Amino acid sequence: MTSTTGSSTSGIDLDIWEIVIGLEVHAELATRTKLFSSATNLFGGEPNTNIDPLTLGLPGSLPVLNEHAVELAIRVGLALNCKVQRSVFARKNYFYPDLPKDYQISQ
Amino acid sequence: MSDRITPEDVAKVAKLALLRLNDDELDRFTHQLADILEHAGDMESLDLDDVEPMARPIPLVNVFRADVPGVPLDRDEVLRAAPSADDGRFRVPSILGDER
Amino acid sequence: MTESSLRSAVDIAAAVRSGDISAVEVLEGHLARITESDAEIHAFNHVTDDAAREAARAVDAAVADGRDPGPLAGVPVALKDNLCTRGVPTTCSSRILEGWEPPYDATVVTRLAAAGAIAVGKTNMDEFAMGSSTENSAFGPTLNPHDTTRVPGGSSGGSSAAVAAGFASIALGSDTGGSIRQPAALCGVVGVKPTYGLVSRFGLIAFGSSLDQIGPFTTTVADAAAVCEVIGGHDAGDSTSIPQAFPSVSDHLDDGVEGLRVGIITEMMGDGIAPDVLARTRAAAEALAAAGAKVDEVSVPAVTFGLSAYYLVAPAEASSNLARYDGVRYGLRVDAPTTTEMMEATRTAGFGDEVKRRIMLGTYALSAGYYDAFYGKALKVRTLIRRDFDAAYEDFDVLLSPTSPTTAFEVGAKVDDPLTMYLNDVCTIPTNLAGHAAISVPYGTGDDGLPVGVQVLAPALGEVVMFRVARALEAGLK
Repeated sequence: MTSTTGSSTSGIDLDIWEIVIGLEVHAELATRTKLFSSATNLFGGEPNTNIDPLTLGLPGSLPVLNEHAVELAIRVGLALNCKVQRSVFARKNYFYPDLPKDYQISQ
Repeated sequence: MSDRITPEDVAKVAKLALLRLNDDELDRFTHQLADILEHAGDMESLDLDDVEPMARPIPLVNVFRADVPGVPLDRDEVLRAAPSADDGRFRVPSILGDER
Repeated sequence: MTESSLRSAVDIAAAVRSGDISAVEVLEGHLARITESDAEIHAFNHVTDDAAREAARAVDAAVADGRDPGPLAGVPVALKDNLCTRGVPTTCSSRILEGWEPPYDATVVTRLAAAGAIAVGKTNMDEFAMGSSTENSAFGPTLNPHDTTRVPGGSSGGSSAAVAAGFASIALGSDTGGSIRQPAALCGVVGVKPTYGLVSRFGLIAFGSSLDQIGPFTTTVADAAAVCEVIGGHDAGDSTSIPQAFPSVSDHLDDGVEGLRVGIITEMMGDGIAPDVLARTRAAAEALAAAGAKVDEVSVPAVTFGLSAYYLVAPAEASSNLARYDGVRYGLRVDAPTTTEMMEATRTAGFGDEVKRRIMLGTYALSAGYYDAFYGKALKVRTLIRRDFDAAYEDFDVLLSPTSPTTAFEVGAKVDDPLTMYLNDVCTIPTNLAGHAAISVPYGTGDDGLPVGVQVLAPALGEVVMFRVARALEAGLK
């Protein structure tokens, strides 16, 4: 990215503004089961077969965190020179038909 | 805490919670919620500046499970309990064109 | 021996295990009482008589073959209708789950079955465990077996009444703000809320996730100890489950109270508690002193704010836990042209008033601009309550208080004003906020001849000493 004096054709004055681009990358971790559910995460199966009470948001179901997923995520973080820090999960509440608990468990 | 909860406030949270209230319910619930929140106002008298919030009673950390598949649920049993099922899936009304 | 002479779980299990009586005979005696009286009491939403008979036959077959039938062999148990039971309707006494059959069992249900207990049915409750009288059930109230013009308490009113009426020897309930202990007191039975995390919540339909605990209703303290030891202890399916077994409370039941320090909670002995209930609580304190305990008064100041904090924290958690009832995958669906309209129509039709009230209160407390003022503040008060309890437990081994401010009130007496109803839980709520343990022990009657319960409170994992004191109260009751 070079900076030039004066405006570019789009009217952005590059003396004042610095362009920063962030990439949100979703990369699936190579685990056998899902993040909070012990259902398998195999691609290409029949609908509604890799299920357990949590994936359906059944009453009484509870999430339990996949240890290998955490391990792999930390490995990626360290490999990319990131700082690994303490993590807490919270709920993001909204209604959507493919969101079984009608909340998302997020960091 | 703040000013007494209003019918507009109650209508707004009802909408957020996907609950439809008629006028009588809106009025009644507003009064009842206002009474409860007013009672909770007794917490104003406490000095909470140096107090940490406690969201859960036991401080367990790093609770994990091994990455081992469990026994899946029986899809037929699950779909039998569904309000509407079709071709192995849960059937729902139109989502596209849904305003919210 | 006759079936009707056997009421306690410990006695039933011993007799069944030794072959002195069959599990089938025990069960038929209980089913007969249900048939005779439950039309009036309405403890049950659903009786599972066929499955129970099959289970009882299996226990008898095990005994005949010389196989171990389990520590609770042949003991009839009633299960609160917020505990998932595979293939058996689990409704939380709500229209939104009417007829829903879970495809899996709660952990506690599995453990009881493995111990040889015989599930006889699912009990009535306040809808989604929200209430103190079982009048919030969508299927009609449960009546108090001691006086059918009165409530059994709530939200586990059906389970409490089932044990009080002899429909089951033991029952399971859930306690979020007192929903085991208060109905136990009102029905004259023993009720335990274990330390948070000692009993798995896997398969318990959630109301307030940081507050809910499952526990037993029984006719004796020894039975409560036995049931806790069966249902409690670590479960990998519940991330909030403490990684240990349930403390060995049965082994120490009769150790006595010599030298134990008992603190009567000052803030729970004042206005707002009926004089006859206060009198029974003082009598309990005197009995413990006579048995060798050191009894004194202790102040736990923050407990007076328990109600306020609870009625922000619990509804906040509930508003999130009850979001899943949207008509998509299970339960009631009210059709509409779009999914959002369908969800709204379903929830509006499916939830009763108290549930709606708490969902809205919780949504408000969590919403932008109000989060810190309401929910955030309540969580800080929670810390204060825990701190004040911890300070009290520096000087005392257990604390003592009434369980409920009054004896059982009349059906309909408190339904019109939510706040009046909430006041029933002033003595029980602080324990849930702190995550501690407490037990209600029947201790005589009030002026109206109705049962009174006294509450023994203990710090987290303090069950051994708590049960010792409870047993001493039971043994010394005059």
